[in-house]
Amino acid sequence: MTGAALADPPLVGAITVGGERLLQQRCDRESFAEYRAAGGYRNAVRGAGVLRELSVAGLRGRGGAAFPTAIKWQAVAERPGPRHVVVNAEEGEPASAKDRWLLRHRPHIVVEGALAAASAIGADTIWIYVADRPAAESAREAAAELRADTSLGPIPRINVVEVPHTYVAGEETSVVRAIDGGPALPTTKPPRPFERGAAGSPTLVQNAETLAHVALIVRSGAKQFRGAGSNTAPGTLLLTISGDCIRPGLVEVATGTRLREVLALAGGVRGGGAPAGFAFGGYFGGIAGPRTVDLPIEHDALRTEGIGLGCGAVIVLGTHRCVVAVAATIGKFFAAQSAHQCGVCVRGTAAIQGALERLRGGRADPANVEQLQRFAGLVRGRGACALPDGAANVVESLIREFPGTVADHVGRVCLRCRLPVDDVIPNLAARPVTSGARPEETRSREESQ
Amino acid sequence: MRVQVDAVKCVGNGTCYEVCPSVFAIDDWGYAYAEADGQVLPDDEPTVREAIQACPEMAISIVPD
Repeated sequence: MTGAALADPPLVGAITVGGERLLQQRCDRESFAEYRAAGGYRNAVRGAGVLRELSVAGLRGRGGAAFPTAIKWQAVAERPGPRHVVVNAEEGEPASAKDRWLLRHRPHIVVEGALAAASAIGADTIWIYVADRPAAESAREAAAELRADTSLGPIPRINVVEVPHTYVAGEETSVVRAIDGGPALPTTKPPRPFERGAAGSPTLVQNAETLAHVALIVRSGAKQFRGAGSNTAPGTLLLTISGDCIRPGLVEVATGTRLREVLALAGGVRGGGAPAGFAFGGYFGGIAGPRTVDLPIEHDALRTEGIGLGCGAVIVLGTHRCVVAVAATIGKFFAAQSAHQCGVCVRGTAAIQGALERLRGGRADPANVEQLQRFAGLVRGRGACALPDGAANVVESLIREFPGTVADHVGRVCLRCRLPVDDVIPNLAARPVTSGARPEETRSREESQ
Repeated sequence: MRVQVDAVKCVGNGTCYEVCPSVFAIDDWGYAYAEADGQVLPDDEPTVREAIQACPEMAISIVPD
């Protein structure tokens, strides 16, 4: 059985402080008129003022790296134009659904953030980069609605680019490569897109949720934004919570909220009892133990514990799950999603998959566990993208967080490992295009002037 | 000086390791990488430049500061 990602997850709760935030309890799509009536597209802050406000707000990217947005934008703005803005809504982590939810249901809050970004860095073109078909259609409709309304004055061209949903397609160099007509595969860095991006121009590639926060910051101000969350990571963030919980879906919480509170919003662990652990960041952040429930959900705090929050996808693993089976399944995923561009990625992820399968099957000896650790060290930081690091994170987190469980699997068959975990570890149907051919049939554009 | 091996270009010829084993290493699958995050000691710079020239895939580059 292949588990499916949450296609259109419901909002299951929010822990925020005052004022409007990103999620609304809705199944329909917020139209231009509706968004405008609620105060949208009336931002008083434009141009360089957006950068100043962003700097005060302290907004950090919500795509996974948590990089300070003001610094990232400044780096693009300082370079000679023309410049581009890319709304990255590809969300390659299969357990994440927040960006597609935003584009499907609240496209204008994302587009307004992109317009603010274009105004701040002096960009004349906006690309909306997406894999989810309904989200792409919603984005096209938003562009058409904007084009039909002349009251906003001149706006940049807005293009929608659809790509196959693969793990590496959302990586920033894959994004600009696909926009330029190539395959959605990563390239060696440098140069990074802020140096040479779409059409060779400085390009700001920004996650969709991050831009939605920008829309609220230019509307309500940095102070309002900082009204939730911690000093070092202010604001709210979206989490996609799935797996063995009663009510999987999206939550919006102030950064620093404890995972225990989020789990309560999701109805708790399905089947009761304590969770066996959590798969974090989608699959990139590794597997964390039950102790994680009392940690604050904030990039820096989790990073010091060796856990990656990534794009905020959290998979709850119920009491009956074996984390070794989960790790082996994620290892298999990374090997399958390798773009087959880098030898070390092809061979390294396959070796990790094989070693994890041996552990799951009770065929590993102590030397195999050491070898697994060695493989993780060898692939880390290599390759054109971070996919090998994802595989390394799974291995290292498994060995660090669950040493007793790993030891129990050496030379011993685990019956719980025989239970399939595909129902909580969703897979991707598409594999990276390895031929170098442009995926014409899945690519489309719409321009609005 | 800092160098990096382009993992996309490297096909595992191993020339860099033969020329400059104090900076380059070969992994379990035959592909090269620069040790110590690519940091090169001044004494190694001449042989690193030799390795850069010797790589048939032109996979090694100096990382700009």
